[in-house]
Amino acid sequence: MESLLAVSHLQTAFDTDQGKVISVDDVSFSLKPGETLAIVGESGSGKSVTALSIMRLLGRGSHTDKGQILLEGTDILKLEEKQMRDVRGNQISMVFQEPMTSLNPVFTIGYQMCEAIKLHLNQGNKEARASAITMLRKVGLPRPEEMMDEYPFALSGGMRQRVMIAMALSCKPKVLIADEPTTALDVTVQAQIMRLMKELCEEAGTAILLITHDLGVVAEMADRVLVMYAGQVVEEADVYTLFDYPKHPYTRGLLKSIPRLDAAEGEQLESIPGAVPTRYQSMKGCRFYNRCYLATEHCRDHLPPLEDKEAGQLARCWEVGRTGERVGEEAHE
Amino acid sequence: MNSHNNVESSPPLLTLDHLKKYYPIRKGILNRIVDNVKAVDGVNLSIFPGETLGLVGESGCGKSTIGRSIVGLEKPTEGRILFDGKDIAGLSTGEMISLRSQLQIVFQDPYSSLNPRKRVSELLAEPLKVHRIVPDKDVSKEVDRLLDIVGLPKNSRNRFPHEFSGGQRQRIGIARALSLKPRLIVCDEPVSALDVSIQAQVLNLLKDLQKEFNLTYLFIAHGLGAVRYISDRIAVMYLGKIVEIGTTKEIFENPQHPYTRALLDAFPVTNPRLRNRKKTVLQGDVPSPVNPPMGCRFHTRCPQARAECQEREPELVGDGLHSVACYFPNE
Repeated sequence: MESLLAVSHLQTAFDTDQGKVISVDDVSFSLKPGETLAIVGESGSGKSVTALSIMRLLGRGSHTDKGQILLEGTDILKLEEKQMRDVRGNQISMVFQEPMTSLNPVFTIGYQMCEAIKLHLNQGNKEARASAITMLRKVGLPRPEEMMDEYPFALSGGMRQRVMIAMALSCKPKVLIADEPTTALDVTVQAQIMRLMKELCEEAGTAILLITHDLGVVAEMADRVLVMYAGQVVEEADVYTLFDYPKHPYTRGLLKSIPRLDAAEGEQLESIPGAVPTRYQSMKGCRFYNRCYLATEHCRDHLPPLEDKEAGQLARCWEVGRTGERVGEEAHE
Repeated sequence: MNSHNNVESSPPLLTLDHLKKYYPIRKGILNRIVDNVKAVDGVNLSIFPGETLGLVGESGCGKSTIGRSIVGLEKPTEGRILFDGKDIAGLSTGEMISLRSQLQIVFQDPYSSLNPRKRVSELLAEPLKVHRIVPDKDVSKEVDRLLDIVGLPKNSRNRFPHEFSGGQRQRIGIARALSLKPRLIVCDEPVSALDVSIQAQVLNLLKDLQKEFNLTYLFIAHGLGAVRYISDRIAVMYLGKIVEIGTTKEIFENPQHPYTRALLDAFPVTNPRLRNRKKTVLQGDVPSPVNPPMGCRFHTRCPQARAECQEREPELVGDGLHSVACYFPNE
């Protein structure tokens, strides 16, 4: 199937006091219509910056000067700001992590909902209000008519996130970018929101780019997964392959370090030694080198390419899949 | 993991007896108390020496308030906190100081719980000096020993907190709690703010330290995976009350309270093949703790609530292995 959103060799850098810092380095992926692609990684891995680069919301001091972001064949990095405004909210929309801060506290829910609908769908006041109420009802909010005239402070976190989802989906975008959409919510509310997002997007055929650090959320929602580490993609696979046969040592380590609900009693939790490097700019070789159980001298000096290891499963590693790979640890089952 | 039976045979190290903590809501020019946020509303709980009791619940259920009350950071409104048989609930700050060395807490946020202007050596030496744990001349040696115990390099002593990652800061927090040789450590969401690959390191460290120093933990968290991994027993809280308590095995394999079951169902499982499993998804949000629902607090969201549930509040009933506060458990 033709891809809807194709990102290739994306590089985003920031100007800092210490010079240019590259926070997303050579990231490529494609998103098919209706698909859910998860980008998973720890803090600082560059997953949110990737999302914001696609939306072109990074602002001053940032440069996305290498790579391409093709939305149905058009490179959106080359669009004028005015044209970009047409894309944002209309073709690609975004739900942020913090439902508490992403709504404007001084405007009513209705005003904020209608603003986007009027702008993108060219609807009049009355029509826009009716569509907004329909959307609020769709996301399962009680008494949507009254809620239109209420302010964000009157709503709980879960309800605000429902409003954000209603707003994001109101213009029937082709792509929904959800940046940690449930991280700030309680588990029982998280389950509601995940189910809601999945249902609504399936119904409208919207593709989801899900940014998260939670592998549990990935397992529940995603079709395909991109694992990021220190600004780079280290593994890409479909969700079943990733959880059954993780290839990259980082992915393997991550999966083993999650305390699972179905683990045997007394089972020891394995952990990845060390921490994510902060100055990975200067690293010549593999960025996981100093935490990796497979690392060799070659890994220290040469950056491995992201290559197909087996049937469409990509990994950025010299050692994995090589004949005679040292089986230090068995793959996660 | 400690087997529960030999833990139970000794008297509890800590007992909460009808513990209540209300926060007044004041209004008007006279600043009158118009209502109360009932953060903890009558909790009975015992923690036995050497065990880890996990305390789980959603935000606002009162789990952190319990932890803070135990170490004396909150004064309970009502009820008793018995530590080693002695009521410590109403103690003055002065009286509390001598107990502090036995009751320690590790906070959630390793970024705000360390003074950014002090070097690690000062951070760790301060409690040692205040409580005269070791003679002054040995303080420096003791700091090195503590750093070694929590797995930080020796050269960290002269560095400032900002030079450390989240996981390393949490290790400093743990070292500080350990420095006083406490008997009970309240761990208030110690790994929630950390990255996944670091969480496992800190959980394993806590487990090893418990074995080595015979510590007792109250482990407060909202992530069920971590709680299951570290706890011998688990208490589930909802709106200021304990709704179910039992051994880890019982809670996970035989959950009785509909809230516990919903919580277990809602927790995302790291196995994509289980994504279509049958699960109860609760409707709505947690009600406000200012006005908890009459009768069973959970009845407004409970999939199996009946008329009785709205009238009287169910008591926690059961044995040492498993107790539940529900009229129709496991239906």
